This record gives sequence, structure tokens and C-alpha cells, in this order.
Amino acid sequence: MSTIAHAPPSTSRPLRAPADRLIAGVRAAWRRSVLLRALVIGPALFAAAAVALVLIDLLIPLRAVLRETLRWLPPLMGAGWIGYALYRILNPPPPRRFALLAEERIPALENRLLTAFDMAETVPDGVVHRAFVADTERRLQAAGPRGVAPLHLRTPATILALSIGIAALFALAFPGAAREALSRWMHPADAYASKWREVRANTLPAVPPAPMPMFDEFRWRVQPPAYAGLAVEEGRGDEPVSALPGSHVRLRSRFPGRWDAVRASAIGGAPVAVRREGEEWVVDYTMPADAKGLTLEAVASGETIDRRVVPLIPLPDQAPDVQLLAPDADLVLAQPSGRLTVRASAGDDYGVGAFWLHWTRSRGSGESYEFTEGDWQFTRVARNGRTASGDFSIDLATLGLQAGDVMHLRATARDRNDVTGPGESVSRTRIVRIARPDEFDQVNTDLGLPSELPKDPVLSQRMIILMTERLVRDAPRMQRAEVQARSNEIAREQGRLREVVGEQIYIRGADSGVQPQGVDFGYLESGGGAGGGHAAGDSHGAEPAPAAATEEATLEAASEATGQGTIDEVSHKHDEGDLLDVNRSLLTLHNLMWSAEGQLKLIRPDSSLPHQYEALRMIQAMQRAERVFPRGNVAVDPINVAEARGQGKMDDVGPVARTRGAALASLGPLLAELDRVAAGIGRRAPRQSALEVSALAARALEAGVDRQAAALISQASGEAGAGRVERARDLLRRARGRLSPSAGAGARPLPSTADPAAAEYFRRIGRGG
Amino acid sequence: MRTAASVRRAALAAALVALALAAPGVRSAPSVAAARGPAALPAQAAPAGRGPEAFTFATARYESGNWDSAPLVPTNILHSVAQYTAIPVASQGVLVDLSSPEIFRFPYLFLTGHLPLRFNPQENANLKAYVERGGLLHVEDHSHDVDGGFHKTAVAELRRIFGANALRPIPNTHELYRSFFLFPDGPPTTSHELNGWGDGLVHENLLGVEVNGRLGVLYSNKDYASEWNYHARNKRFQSVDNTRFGVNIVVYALTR
Amino acid sequence: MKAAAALRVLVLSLLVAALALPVWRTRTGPLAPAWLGDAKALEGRSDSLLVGRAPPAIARASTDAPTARELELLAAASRRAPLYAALPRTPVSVGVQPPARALSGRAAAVGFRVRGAPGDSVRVRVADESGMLDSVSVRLDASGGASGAFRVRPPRAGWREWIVDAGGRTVRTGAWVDSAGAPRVLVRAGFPHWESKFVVRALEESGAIVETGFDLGRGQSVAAGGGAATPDRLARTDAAVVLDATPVAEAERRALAEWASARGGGVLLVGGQGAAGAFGLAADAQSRAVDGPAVAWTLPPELAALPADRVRSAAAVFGAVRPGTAVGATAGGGGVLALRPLGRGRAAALALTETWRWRMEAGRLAEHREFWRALVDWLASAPRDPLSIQLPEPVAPAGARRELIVYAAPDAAGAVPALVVRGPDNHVDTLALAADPARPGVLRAAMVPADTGLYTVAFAGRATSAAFRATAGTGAAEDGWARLAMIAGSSGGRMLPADSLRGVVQRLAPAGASEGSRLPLAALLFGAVLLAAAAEWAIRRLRGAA
Repeated sequence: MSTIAHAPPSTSRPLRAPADRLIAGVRAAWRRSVLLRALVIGPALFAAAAVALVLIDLLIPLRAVLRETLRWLPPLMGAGWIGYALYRILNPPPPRRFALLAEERIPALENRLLTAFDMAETVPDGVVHRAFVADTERRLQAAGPRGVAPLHLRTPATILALSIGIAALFALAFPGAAREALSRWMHPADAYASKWREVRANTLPAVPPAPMPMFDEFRWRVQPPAYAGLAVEEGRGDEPVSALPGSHVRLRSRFPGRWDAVRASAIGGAPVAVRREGEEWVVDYTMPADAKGLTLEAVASGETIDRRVVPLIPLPDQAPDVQLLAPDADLVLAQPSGRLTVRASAGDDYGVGAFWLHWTRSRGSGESYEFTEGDWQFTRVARNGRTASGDFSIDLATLGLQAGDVMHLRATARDRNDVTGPGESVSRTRIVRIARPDEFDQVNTDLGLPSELPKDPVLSQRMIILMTERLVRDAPRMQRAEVQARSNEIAREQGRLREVVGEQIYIRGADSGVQPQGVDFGYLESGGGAGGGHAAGDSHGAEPAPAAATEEATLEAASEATGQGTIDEVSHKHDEGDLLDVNRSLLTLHNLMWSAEGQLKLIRPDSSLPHQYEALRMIQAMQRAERVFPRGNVAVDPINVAEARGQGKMDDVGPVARTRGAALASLGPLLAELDRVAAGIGRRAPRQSALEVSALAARALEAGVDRQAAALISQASGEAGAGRVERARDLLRRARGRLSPSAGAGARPLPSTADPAAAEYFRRIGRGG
Repeated sequence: MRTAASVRRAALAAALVALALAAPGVRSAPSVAAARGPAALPAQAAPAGRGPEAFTFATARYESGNWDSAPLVPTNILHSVAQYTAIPVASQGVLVDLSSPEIFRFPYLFLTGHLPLRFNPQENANLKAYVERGGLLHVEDHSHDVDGGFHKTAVAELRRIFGANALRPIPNTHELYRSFFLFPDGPPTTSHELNGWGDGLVHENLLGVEVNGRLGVLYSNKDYASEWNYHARNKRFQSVDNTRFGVNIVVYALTR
Repeated sequence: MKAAAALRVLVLSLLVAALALPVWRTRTGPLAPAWLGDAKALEGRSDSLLVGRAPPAIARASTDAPTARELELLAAASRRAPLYAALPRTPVSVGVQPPARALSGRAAAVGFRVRGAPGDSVRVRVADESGMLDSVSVRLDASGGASGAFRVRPPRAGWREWIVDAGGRTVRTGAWVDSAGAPRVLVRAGFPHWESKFVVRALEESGAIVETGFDLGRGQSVAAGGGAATPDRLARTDAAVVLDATPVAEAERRALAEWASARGGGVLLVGGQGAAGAFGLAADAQSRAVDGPAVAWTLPPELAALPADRVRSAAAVFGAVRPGTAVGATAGGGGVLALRPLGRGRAAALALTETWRWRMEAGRLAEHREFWRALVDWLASAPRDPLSIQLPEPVAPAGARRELIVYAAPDAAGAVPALVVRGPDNHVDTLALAADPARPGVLRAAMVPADTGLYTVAFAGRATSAAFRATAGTGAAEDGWARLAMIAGSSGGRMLPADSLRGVVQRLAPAGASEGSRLPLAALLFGAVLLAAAAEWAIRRLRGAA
């Protein structure tokens, strides 16, 4: 025994120590390799990605946004790799994994390490076992961790070197492009944008942006007054708001948070309340008749940062247009009796309210006139939308009119305007005059109106014509006797009418001299006396009356003058005396009626009609003339200037030198201000320009200039505030054009210098004369 | 848009004006639209002879009322102007229709009457333009009665045309009272103010509408229309010529 | 395994090629000039023009005026390549003539001459710092020229500039505006009439200061101290208007003539004034009525015409005018307005005796006012000073030679003081004047302004009476075309007629130059690299080698 004498190994975990040592070695080697690889691969990734991106950008210029995102790729890749490696080092796998690695990479172990692991906790016994332990211990002693974790650094190192090489090569070959690329990736704004900044910096003035928000586009809402019955209107923008006075105008727009307040005031008026509704400011304004505009100011930290002017255009509410339809001419009545129908119509742009008839009675003459006036409501008023028409029948007998009284009739209408109105207007005035006993315009009266005079009135010529025509129509179906009776009846009426005319001729013939001037038919008189026309019949200039003539003489003269009553013969006689001259028209009329009457008596109504028509034509002509010359022409003797010259007594004479006239209140100052402001736009900050321009707009409105021009100016303030200089200038130019439209009259081609005199002139003028 | 509507209105008005002018024969055409502007003036007959036209006294013939109540005033005033000055005058006045553009040929226009006065739309438009262009409208209340129909209506009409506050009293220191004869106390009184007729008042001031510092409308209640309404040849019977103020008015109209 | 290896080789080679390509192209690949048809093309290529390889040249083919943005882009791009730009199709050239004499508040004329394609119609505008003042459309005659002038009214005294623009060309001119108050006018009438009333009214409304001399007869007059124009009254007056039918006595006529010719006053004789002959204007006059439309106005631009309304005015139309007199208006073969310098002053004769009808009958208030005011302005604007300075080019680039011309009245030609020029930095130069041997009474001096800014000119010991401004670059800096020309010039390129641009640019293009669109090839190459790399990776994956 010597083998028996061999000492057995310790029975507690025999292989522990050497296994642990080996695994620790392997772990250390692994750590080293991971760290080293990361330190090479990370930078390689970074460099390769960066170079690739730069080259791609050179081939296909990338947009700024793409570069902005891509430029983070290389650092992310590089740093990511290294970070991951560190993570692995700090959290290594369990020892058994290293054991496996060691078994794989150290063939000499022949899986003994794992076996040792497995039996590590068991207490060995037996010879085989002890022998295995001993062998394993020997092998573990022999094994070391060399080669367990190789580095494999060639590829990454190559990529790194290659990338750096390429970058260096590029930078050396094209330093400009490289710098460009660097700037493109370091500051990935578009390159030409930065170039523009350079260019702008030395070609354009630097315009600082407005620091504060300006007014947004306004929205307006107009609610017209109730009486107009118009719909609510809404709109937006800077154009002037036009509305009827009394309309409720509501303006609103955004209220930025940075503002303290919005102030509003009526131009040339009081401040207007502004309230805030959520994110908006709201102005409610009731449009006065003289509205000019509203000024709105945005206030922040105590100063006005923006101002806008909204011109307001009050729409005129036209007063009603009243027409007096009947009677259609001034009347001269023989006596204040009968009925007179007055008809009138009125129209208004927003509907007629009240509608009545106004009368004024003037009584008296010369210097003493007394006036009584009153109203009559129309008996029947027909309304149709915006127009109204009314009738009224006057019973002249009930008015207590006297001879010489003058009734002035006119229709009056009032519109519904309860804001600035009511607008009231009147029709033209009709004069109804009651003839004085010494006036003789019976013919006009009786023939003129469809007469409703009481007790057996004289029928008008028109009536007689109607009767005759009816007779002519019915005759074929009537008995001979009946025709005769009716024909004679008509003849009698015609006769009565003719007598009235005859009466006229007689009296006119007799009294043409003493008859005062200015009565109707005065236009017939060629020999009208001087000094006439004054209603009082002034004492000056009355002429002596010519001799009177008798009725017989008159009528003889009439038939003689008019022969068979053809107008030609009458109008071609030149040799009548005063008498016939005076009465020619009436004589003709009288003669026509005579012929008509004669034909009727012979029961020839048809052949009587032409005379009647002609008579009616003459009567109407007289009436038309009556209307055109209500008072008649007055012939006044001319003065003898030469005789009068220098005859006056020169007492208290001392003409003063005329005081100097004031220059017209011109728009000069306003235009100058406009010029100044326009010149400032673009030089000053937008906000300041906007303030100036809006102040100008307010001033223009206050000066009462054309609203559209003011509107253009206030639009310009908006554009100026937004920094749109050209647009603002253009608007101001247009405003200037509206304010001084005469601009443009100045330009004309120079006169042709072919004219030697003109050439000489320009040569001299060319050097200031 | 309302502006569009107003444009349409204006166009319509223009069209009506054109229509109204196309038919100048229709004197009393009841066209409201025609009154939007003064009527256009046809070229007048060639002015006679050399030198400026002699001063012509024009009386306005208006549609309502009695426009010819003082037919002798024109010759009377012309006579006085001839008597005291070297200003060439016509031997007679002329009548012009207020609604016709003829009035623009006579920068001095006389208007009077007793009866209520109503201008038709064309007369309105003409008068407004007339005064704006520099004419002088001289209005005399022939009934010199502040309660009279003429005064009430005439003042109402003038206010309607020239504005509510346009017609103001003329101070008695006005150039009008020193333009030829001197009237230190303002407008001379008339016998008609004192004879108990009319309102029996002595009116301190005349009224006027001024345009750029010059009288455009001269309105008087003093009834110079009656005062001057006599034949010029009867002037010789007066110790003091009562038409001298008329000369002042004419000289003012011609020089201011 | 072999395939993978082969692919790897391919990938590497492609990668190398992709990387090397730009280098190789930059070295060798010729690039065609950038051809810009219009502003859109410029926008499209802005990036490639400003970044990466610059083309050998940039060609702007558009004949439209360049916009501000275009100019900015081109200014930036032209730093890297010469810019060749097409000239506008019908190049319009504008010449502008400054006012001979400008007074504040008075009418003055800015003349212009436009040259271009015959028959073209060109709108000419005049503007000042405040914006556009006036414009007129002129048709170029057969020789391709047109001339005209604008009436301007400088509001303030001092240096004033006007910009005349025609067919995209802008030219500046300027003048030293002497301070002048409102014109003082004496209106003389034998007796008051409507014309006298409304002439005075128009002048006063336009701001003139009017004194009337109206005789009323019998020793009365609407004037302090009688109506006649006495020398002491004329001394307070700039212009005298002698209306029709004014009995001008010999003494008064002599006073007027002496005052006008010796003291620079202006006399207007209205109607058939026999005196017109004495003032060297018109001899005979014939009375007749003249209709508004029948008057043909050939006025100098300082004056305003009466509109052609249907107005009939009495007139004393004059037949022949004296030599040296310009006819400003005619009617039916006779003269209606005659104008002439009279010694140091000016004289005019107007045949129309009833211009008031334009105001009352036609309602032309503004036109009537302007007619009279412009006429009086002209009469009152004769230079009182016997010496006057003219500058042919008031606004021109610094460094350009300036000529200063002095016109001296015969009596003052003897001793003309030197000219003192004060520069923008208050540096004062004194220029000696040399008499022009060819033209008596004309003296000349010249200087070259070094700095930009305003130079004022005065006779030694007197107030400033002229000025000129030296601008940076050309005087037409605002003009888009001018700026384009500047950019092209400074970039080594130039402006060319549109039709010859293509040829020049082709000559500039190197042989075999590509249109500069490198994008397709590069993209192809790059795509191939990616594809190959992907394929190689896939194979390795399949082989389990990944």
C-alpha cells in the first residue's frame, strides 16, 4: 500500500474555486471586447451616415424640413450603439452563459466545466469521481480565457476610416461646397431664404413686424328703423356702412387677449359704448341723421395701438312726392258755387303716412291781404304699397267765398319717418279765383269745367258735342220728329253758350280800356296799358279808355269780320280797328258756335260737329294759355338811360373799397396731410402708419369730404397696418383722386413748335423769360 | 348693397333728367327727378355789340303766387343806377322763368309777390345752383307781413333749399349798406312799414344767405317792392330818392 | 457564397461610384446656363441656382418688367454666375425737363419727351413723394417720339422732386422751389360788370390777394384812392388784369408797361384793348361771339383751358399777333389768347370778355377758378432777378459731371458773381463762371459732385436759387429694368435684345453641357446602391450567414 495511503480531496465543493476563476476571466474578456467594438462601430456609423446624407443632399438637394429631421440620424445611430454596449456591460448574462461560452471557445475543457458545475453541490465519493475531479481541476488550471471574446474590429474601422477619408477628401477638394453643406446641415433653413435675407438687408429697408395684433376684419349688421319695413342687412370689410338714420348698426370683430380695451367714438360726436362678448368686441350704435363715421381704437398698456375708421353714410329718406291731378289748371270762377273735385296722389320711398288737402284763402287786394287756412281730409284715400291717392269734392257754395277771393289748394303728404322726419311735402299749388264783378272770364269758367252750376246751367261745349254725337248715332233708328226735337234742343244749348261768348265780345269791346290789367286773356291784348299788373291797380300809369261801342256794332263787325266763319278769313284780316283786334279770338269762337247752331236747327247734326270741334279746340287753347300766363304780361315803358345818366344828387355817397374775399375753404391742408402720410408709409412701422392713416380718415370725415374717399383712406389704414405698403399707397392715391378730381387736367402735349412764335415763346420761357 | 341701390336711383334720376331736358317745350312737366340738378342751358343768341353787357334787371317768374306784383320796380332801379353811376344799364328789365336755365344769364335776380310761394322741384334746383355759382337772389315780401302767406312760405322754402340756419339777419354794418350810398343805420325804412298796412313793424335787419362771405340771397320784409313800384319819371317829386338803396344792392351784386 | 461575395463587391463598387460621382462631375461635367423663361422658372430653380454647382450663366428671357422678388432672387443668384437678361420688347426712353422756374403755390411745368416704337400709345405719369399727381396717354408719332408736360403746383418752398414714369421707365427730376406768397392781383375795370365780379371772385376763391380798381362814374370807385393803376399801387402787385372797356389813359398804360418790363410784373389785357398793340401782343381786334367748343387751346402747360361747354361769350378776337408772341388759344382763325415775355415781366391778351358764363351758365366753378388762377400765376411768375440758374440734369448720379448755366439779362451780364455750391456735408465750393462765346448773356460752370445728396447753388452773397441732387448709382434706381441692368452688369453679364439672348447664351454653354438637371442619374445610382445592398443582405440571410 501506497495508493491506499493517498489522501482523499476535500469533500465540500471540490471544483468551485477554479471554475469561478475561469468564468471571471471569460467575463472580463467579454466586457473588454464589447466596449472596444462599441467605441469603434459607434463613430463609424455616425461618420458613414453623415457622409451618406451629405452626399445624397449634394445629389438631390433636400428640402429644409427633411434635413432638419435627417440630421439627427447619424448621432442617434452612433450614440445608440455605444449606449447599448454600455447597457450590456452593466447588465452581463448569468455565469452559466459564460460557462457555455467558455466550453464553446476552449475545446480543451471538453465540457468538464459544465459537468463540474453540475456536480458542484454534490459531495464526491468513489474513486472514479475523485479521479474526474482531479482531472478537471488539472484542465481548469491549464485553461485560460484567451480568445474567448475576439474583437473583429476590421470592418467597422474600415468604414470609419473610409467615411472620414471621403469627408476629408470632399472638404479639401471643394471647401466652398463643404462649407455650404456644413451650413445647410448645421442651420437647415433654405439656403436661398438666407440669401434673400442678405439681399434684403442691403437693398430694402428692414421693416420690423407689428408687435401687437391689429384689428381683424369688421363684421357689421344694420337693422333699419321699423317704419322703413326693410330687412336686416349684414356685411363685412372696411367699406362704408350706409343705413337709414335711426338704424341700429352693430359692429363686431375679434378681441385679442393682449388688448386692454377697445374704444369707440362717433366722429365729431360722443364716445360710444363697446362691450365684450367672449372673444369679440361689439359696438351698438344708433345711426343719427348727420352720422359721419365711427372711430375704433384698440388700447394696450395705455397706448393706442391700432385705430380704424368706419365711414357711415346716412341714406336719405326722401320726402313724399305729391302730385295734384285735378284740377289740372288754375281756375277763375264766375261765382262761388258748384262742386269742384280735387284729386291728388302721393308716393314715398318708404310709404306715405298722412295725406290731406291744405287750403289757404287770401282775401283782399293791394296792400291788405288776409289769409285764412285750413286742412281737409280726403273723402276717399286709396293706398297701394308706397303710393296713395285721394279724392275730395269741394262744395264751393259752403265756403263763403266772396268775389275776388283766391283759394290756394295743395295736397300735403307726410311720410312715416318717425326718426328724422316726418318728411312732409306739398303738391304744386292750384289757384281758384272767384272773379270780381269787373272781371269777365265767364267763358273760361263755363266752358272750362264740366259745369255743375245750379239752376239751369250753361252746358259746356264738350257736353254739347257729346249730345250731338249721340244724336248722330241714334238718328237712323229714330222718328224724324224725335230727331228734330233733340236737334233743336241741342241747338238751344249751343245758342245759350254762344250768347255768353257774344256777351263777352260786347263787354270787352266796350270796356277794354278801363278793365284792369293782369286779368285773364290779357295776352290777347296788343295794346295793354302801362303800369298795369299790380293787383291793387296802382295809380301810376293808368291809360285813358278808348271810346265804347254798341253790341249791334260789335256783332255786325263780328259777322263782317268772320264772313262764313272760316278761321282763315279771320286770321288774315289785318285792317280791323282796336275793337276787332281785341276780340278776334272770341269773334271766331262766336262765329263757329253760330254755324254749329245753324246746322243743328237745320237738323244736320253731323255737319254741325266740325264747327263744334273747332270751337272746343279754341277754348282749350285759351285755357292752356290761361295756365301758362296766369297773370298776363305787363308792358312797361322803357326808360331813357341817356337822359337819366348823371342826374342823381350825390348826397351821402362814399362807396367803400370792397373787403377782401376769403379763399375758398380748400382741401389743401387735408391733401397735404394725405401726401405726408402717404410718403411715410413704408418708412415708418406699419402700426404707426396705420394710426396716422386712420387719423387722416377721421379728419377727412370730420371735414365732410366725399365718404367714398374717406372709406378708401380707412381701408388704406388697414393695409398699412398689415404692412402691405403698395396696396395702402394705391388706396391713398385713389382717395386723393376722389378728393381732387381736377388732377389730370394739367397734362397735355406741348403745343407744336412748328409755329415760330410758339417756338420763340418756349425758347424764352425755357429760361424763365 | 345699399350703395348699389343708390347708384340705381341716381341712374334713374339721370335718365329722367335726360328725358325732361329732351322735351324743353313741356314747361310744366311734373317731373320730380328733373329737379335733381339745374336745367341745362341752350346756347343763347350772340351778345350784342362790343364790351360787356349792360346791367339787366331780371325778375323771376315762378309758378305759384303773383310774381308780377311789382312790375315797375325794374325800370325804376335801372333808372336810379343810370342816374348815380356810370354802369351801363338796359332800358328795361327782363322776365325769366325761375324753372328755366335762363336765370343763369342774370347773376342778379329779383323775386317778389303777395301770395303763398311754393317753388316746384325744378325751381328749387335752379335756385340752389344759382346761388352756389355766385348769383344774388333778391327776395321782397310785397305784403311786408311776417304773418303773411308770402313771408311764411318764402322763408320756409328758402330754409328748405339752403338749410335751416342759412337765412340769418344781415348786420347793419354790412358792406351792402356802404357799397355806394352810406346807410349807417342799416336798411332804410319804407313808408309801408309805418302806414299801418301789413304787420305794422319796422324791421331792423334784412335777412340773407351768405356763400363764402358773400350774399347769395337777400331777403327783405320791408317791402321795397311797394316802395319802388312806381314809374321812374315820378322820382322827381321826391325830396330824397327812396331807391338809393336799390343802387347799393345793384353795386353790391356787381362788385362783391 | 460566391453570389454573396459578388454582390458585396457590386455594392461596394456602386457605393464608391455614388460617392465619387459628384466629385467626378464637379471636376469635369459641363453644366448649361440656367435658362429662365419666366418668374415661375426662376422660383422652380431658385435652390439649385443658389446652392450646389453654379451654372456658367443665368439667362432671363422674359421681356416683362422684373418683380421685386425676381430681382432679389437674381441679385442673390448673380453672385455665383453672370446674369444675361433680355431687354423689354419696345424699350421706351423718357427724358424729363424740370420746371424753368418753380414758386411755391404757383403753377409750374414738368416737361417730358418719350421715345419708343412709332404708333405706340404710352401712358405717362408724374408723381412726387406723395404719390401720383397726374397722368396722360400719348401716342408716339411716326418718328417714335412724343412730348408733353404736366402742370404741377409745388406746395412748399425748397427742393422738390418729381418722378416721371412711362412704359416702365422712371426718370426723376427736381427743382429748387422759391418761396412765393399768394399772387397779388390788381383787377382794373372801367365800371363793374359781371366779368369783373366773377374774375375777382374766382381769384379770391383760389387764394389770390385781389385789389380792385372799379370806376363807378362821377368820381366814385370801388377802390381806395381811385381806380387807376398808379405806380405805387403796382409796386404792391404781382399781376394786373385790365378788363374790357377800361379806359386806360396814356399815363396808366406807360406805368403798366414800365412796371412789367422793368420790374417783372405781369399784365393781362382782356377784350379789345387798344393797348394790346402797345404791349407788343396783338394789333387789331374784331368783336364777335365765340362758342366754347370753337376755342382751340394750345396752351403752355402752366396754364389751364376753359372746358368746351356750350357757352357763348362775347370776344374781341385779334387777327395777327406781333412776332415773339405765342398764341395760346384760337377760335375761327383768330387769336383768343396771346402770351409773350415783356422785358423782365410778362404780358398776355385775352379776347374772351365773358368767361363768367362758364361759371354761371355751365356751372364750371372749379375750371373757371383754375383758368384765372393759372393765368395770374403765369403772369406773376416772371423772374424778378436778372440772373437765373438752370441745371439741365437736376437729379443724376454722383460722379457725373454737372453743367450749371446762368442766364443773365443784358444789363446784369457785366458783373455776374461766382456760384457757391454747398454740398450735403456743408462743404462749400465756389465755381467761376465762364461766358459762352456763342450765346451772349449765357455763362457756364461745371462741377462733379462726389458724394450723394443735395447740393444747393447760390450766387455769392445771395440766397439759394437752385439745387441738384446726386444719387447713388443711376438716377433711375427705382426702375425695375434699371435694377436688372445693374445686377446684370455687376455680375459680369449684360442686358441683350430678347432675340439675341438665346444665341449669346448658347455660345456661353460649354460643349456637351447637360441642361443641369442632374437629378435622374443620381437618383438612379442611389436607388441601385440601396437595391444591391438589400439583395446582398437577403442572400446572406438565406445562407444563414447573417
